[in-house]
Amino acid sequence: MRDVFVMWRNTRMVVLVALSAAIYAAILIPFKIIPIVPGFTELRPGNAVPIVCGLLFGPAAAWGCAIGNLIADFFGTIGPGSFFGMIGNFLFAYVPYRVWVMLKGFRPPSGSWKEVPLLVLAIFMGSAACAVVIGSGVELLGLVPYVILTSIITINNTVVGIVLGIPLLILMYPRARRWNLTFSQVMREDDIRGTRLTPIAGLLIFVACTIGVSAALDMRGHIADWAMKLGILDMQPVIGEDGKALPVSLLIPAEMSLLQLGLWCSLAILVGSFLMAKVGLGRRPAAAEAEQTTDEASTGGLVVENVSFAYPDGGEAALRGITFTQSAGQMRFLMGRTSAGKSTLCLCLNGVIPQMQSGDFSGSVQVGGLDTSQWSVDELSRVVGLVFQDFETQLFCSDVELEVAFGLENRGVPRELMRERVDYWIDVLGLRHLVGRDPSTLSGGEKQRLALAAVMAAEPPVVVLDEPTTDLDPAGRAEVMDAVGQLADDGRTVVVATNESAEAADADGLLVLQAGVLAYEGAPASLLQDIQASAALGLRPDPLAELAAAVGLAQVTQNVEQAVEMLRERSARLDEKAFVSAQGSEQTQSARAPAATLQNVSYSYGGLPALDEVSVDVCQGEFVGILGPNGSGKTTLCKLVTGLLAPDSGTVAVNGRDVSEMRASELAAQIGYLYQNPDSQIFADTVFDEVAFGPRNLGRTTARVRELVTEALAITELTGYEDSDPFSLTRGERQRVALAAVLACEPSIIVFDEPTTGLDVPQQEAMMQLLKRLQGQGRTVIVVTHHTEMALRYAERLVLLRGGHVLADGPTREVVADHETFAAAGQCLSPLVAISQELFGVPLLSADEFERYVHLG
Amino acid sequence: MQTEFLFIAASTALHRLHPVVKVLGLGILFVPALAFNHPAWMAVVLALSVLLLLVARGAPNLRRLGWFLVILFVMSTLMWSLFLADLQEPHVLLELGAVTISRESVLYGLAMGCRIASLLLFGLTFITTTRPEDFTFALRKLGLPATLSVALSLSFRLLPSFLATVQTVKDAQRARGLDLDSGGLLTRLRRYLSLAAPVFGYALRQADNLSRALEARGLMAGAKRVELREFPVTRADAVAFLLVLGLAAASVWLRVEGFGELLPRI
Repeated sequence: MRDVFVMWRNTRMVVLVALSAAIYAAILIPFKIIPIVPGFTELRPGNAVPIVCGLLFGPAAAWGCAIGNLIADFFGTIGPGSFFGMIGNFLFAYVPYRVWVMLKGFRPPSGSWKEVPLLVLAIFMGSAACAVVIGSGVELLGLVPYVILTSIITINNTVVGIVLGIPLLILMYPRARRWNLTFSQVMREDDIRGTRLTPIAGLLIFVACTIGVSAALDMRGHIADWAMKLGILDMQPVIGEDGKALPVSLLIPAEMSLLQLGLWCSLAILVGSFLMAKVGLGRRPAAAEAEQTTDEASTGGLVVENVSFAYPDGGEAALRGITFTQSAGQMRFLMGRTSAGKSTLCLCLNGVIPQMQSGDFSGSVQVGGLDTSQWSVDELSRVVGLVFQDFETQLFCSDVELEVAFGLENRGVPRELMRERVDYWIDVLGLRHLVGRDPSTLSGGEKQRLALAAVMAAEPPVVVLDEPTTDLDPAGRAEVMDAVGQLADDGRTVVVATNESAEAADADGLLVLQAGVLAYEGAPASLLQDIQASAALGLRPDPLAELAAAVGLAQVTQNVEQAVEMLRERSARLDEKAFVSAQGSEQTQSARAPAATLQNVSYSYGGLPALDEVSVDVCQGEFVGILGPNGSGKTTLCKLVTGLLAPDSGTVAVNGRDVSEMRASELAAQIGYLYQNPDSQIFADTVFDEVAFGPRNLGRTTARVRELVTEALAITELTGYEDSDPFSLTRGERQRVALAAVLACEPSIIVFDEPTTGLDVPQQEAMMQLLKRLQGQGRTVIVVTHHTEMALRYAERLVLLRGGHVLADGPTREVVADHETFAAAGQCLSPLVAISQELFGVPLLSADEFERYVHLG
Repeated sequence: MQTEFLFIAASTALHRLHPVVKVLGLGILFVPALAFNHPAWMAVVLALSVLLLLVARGAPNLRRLGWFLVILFVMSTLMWSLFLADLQEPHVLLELGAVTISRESVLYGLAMGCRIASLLLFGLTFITTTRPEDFTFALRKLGLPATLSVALSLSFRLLPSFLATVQTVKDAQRARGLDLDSGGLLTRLRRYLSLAAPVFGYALRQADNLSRALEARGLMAGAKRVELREFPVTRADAVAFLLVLGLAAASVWLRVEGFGELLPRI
């Protein structure tokens, strides 16, 4: 049983325990209401899960399925029977895995045809072990007769295990391998290996299972009895004291009750399971020593020397010869295009590379005085905190406060100090009003703030943030960056990876990566004020530098006031004629037929109102931007328009028809929805199948489907990728796959939820230009975004939301002109708008407009 | 699909009890439910369990699971009536081939129906008054190792997130024209199976990221874990604990004295 204990030292195994438990419970719960024996045994397709997880994740699945069963009991069936349920489900996952390892060695099954006979044996043994233990335990409590439960569980589990389990195994095996999660990838062979006793233990389990189950199926001799009556079986009946024939059993001595038999079999199964692997706890890694040394090295900066790294997929090196040093108290920004290596470098700084990520690493990283190749990520976490780019997966507690406290709890920080720090960081990041909420119910931006608070509360001497503000509204972004700046002022070493040039402006230094190489190291201003140099590295230049270039100022100004002053000195004037005539052409575009209409729509999530009496009309061919602070109801609005949510009250109509009366296929042909995270909507194994999914659902012919796919891939510049696995592509490419999949349905309206998140500047521009082209083809485009600058440049109309209400709705220029309302919707005023309004009384939305309409005297 | 936990936020005396007292109390309350097998005595225990749930303001949960309890009660009674063997001198009521129904088996069945219902109602009262994280907290205080308690909390947390993933994938498929809830049973089943690949793929990808994030926040840092939350032990906790303990002791004593016994078995 060593494997069952040793696995708790491995984080991946702990996660797999929770994952198996969650999957198992999730599939068990809905079937609690469909019992086979009404009231007792549910029809449980979920019972394929312990088999599959057991065979893939080994001991983690055994614990996980025991816990999963307990959690499912939290939905109404908790009782003393839960105890036997836990043991039974533990064995249900553990026995098949042990039997498999005993027969085939240290590797999980892949579900190939040749493996099927052995799999069937393993599945039967797991099912029977589970059934015998639960059956006898539950009769021991006097709840259900042994014969009933044992036979039903065995039959159900074996059948489900074979019919659903094996296909599920075939499906999950490559995915589990890909993410390095199978037991042979996570655990050491030495901890799993069997002993000389293993075959005997296996035989013991097999015999006990067979006897226990056949006794139950035998219905206490009734089957034999009937068989004799029918003449199939010929046996001498046993005569009881009263002279009557006793029911004959083939397997049970007449004087032993079924319960006794079941309990003996259970005991044999448990002893057998115990003896399947080595006993003992194995060697423990020396942790005490580590604690002492890491405590000493509590200050210090970063020394990165000649670091190179290549992922195991055999592609180009992600990092090549990176060298830099950074001292305590400095804040540096890390910029560059999406595949330039920013995230990879961040992972190097906290030791995930080389400790947890396989690949080819060379060079050295010293963080807070510790060499990352010598210390585990856990130990390094004392000196370095990393906020991962994918913030959703780093929240795992059930309450906002507990989330912030998690790192402190692990380090054993005294409770009073812990309370102080938790309160402090909750206030700093503006999370006070969310205390008591479950993190999974928060909006994207709220989750991102929470992820920041959770890392910062540990107050490590080095803080690394990988794109910490992607999902925040502009006002929130500024607040969070202030808090980050505070960290550096407190003497911490801070590294922030970002795409936002505006954030980087006041850093102590800027590092820019290009294709894995450090392409720039120096002051932010000297790069960002150089338009050509910034563009070459894929960065957005300082808008004031763009302004200077657009109107022909020789010198870049430092702020809005200076710019206004300088333009006044140079007697800048607006070319009103050109400006007004351009405005006129913008105006004439309104007064078209309605495309999407929301009328007095309200929606709430379990009592939390998200939208309140919202009315918006979008006309055909319009390009509408929806802006608003985090949690203002933007995504809810998208889901209502696309029919994914049904309003609590009010009506939603698309092209004049009520959405609630339309079928999914009708709706999909008229309105498309691009998710915020493309990974949420990609589910096929090849790009072609992904894009073809929609048109196939709409009943298009094979030839037409091919045509539509080809067309959609051409528009999104993905031709040639038809056979690629979508998840092997970059984020920008995946975003385009998701868009192609929507376009292939030929909708006349497309709703985009944050289409530029996670993209670098050139990709963002390309995406927005693509949307503009779609509008040019006559489609209606609705874009939800936090990129104010993009919305100003591309959308002709803006809707501002806040707290579930429409704050403003009108032509972009008019909406922007009202500074107060604009700021109330969490937006920051772009310097260009501020300058033009100050000078000319009208907002100019981009440097291009300055170039077109502003002339120096 | 019922996916909401059954916890009801209220501030009854039962809600305010220390989580450890609640967990131990639940275990001890199983004793009276297992002590008797006479239907009249079991009916008293059942009445007690209903009362307890109502005190905990659990009436909505009782309505939600009421029919489930009724089915359980009926089936338990029926099955024991049919399959109870080993009776000494049964008053046979009916013989159907190999199956015998006697007065004793029916009465025992009724008692067992009451037993299973009362066990579930005690459990339901516990769930109504206890958040999953308080349950984990109690187990931790009762000596559950830190990593195991983290795994348990993590499981409670991943469950809704896994269900959310299922919903997201369903939505994404629906947004591209797949009607999951139309067509015959087989068509629907096949469509639901087509959810499996993306959902499990997503879950496994998450597991990879999650283990990095857990380590980066020092899960295995080796220090002795300290919990942020603490629950003061009050006089009410002591009273409640002694009360259930007394109840359990009294039931055992009564049974030993021969009360509430229909048959000489549990």
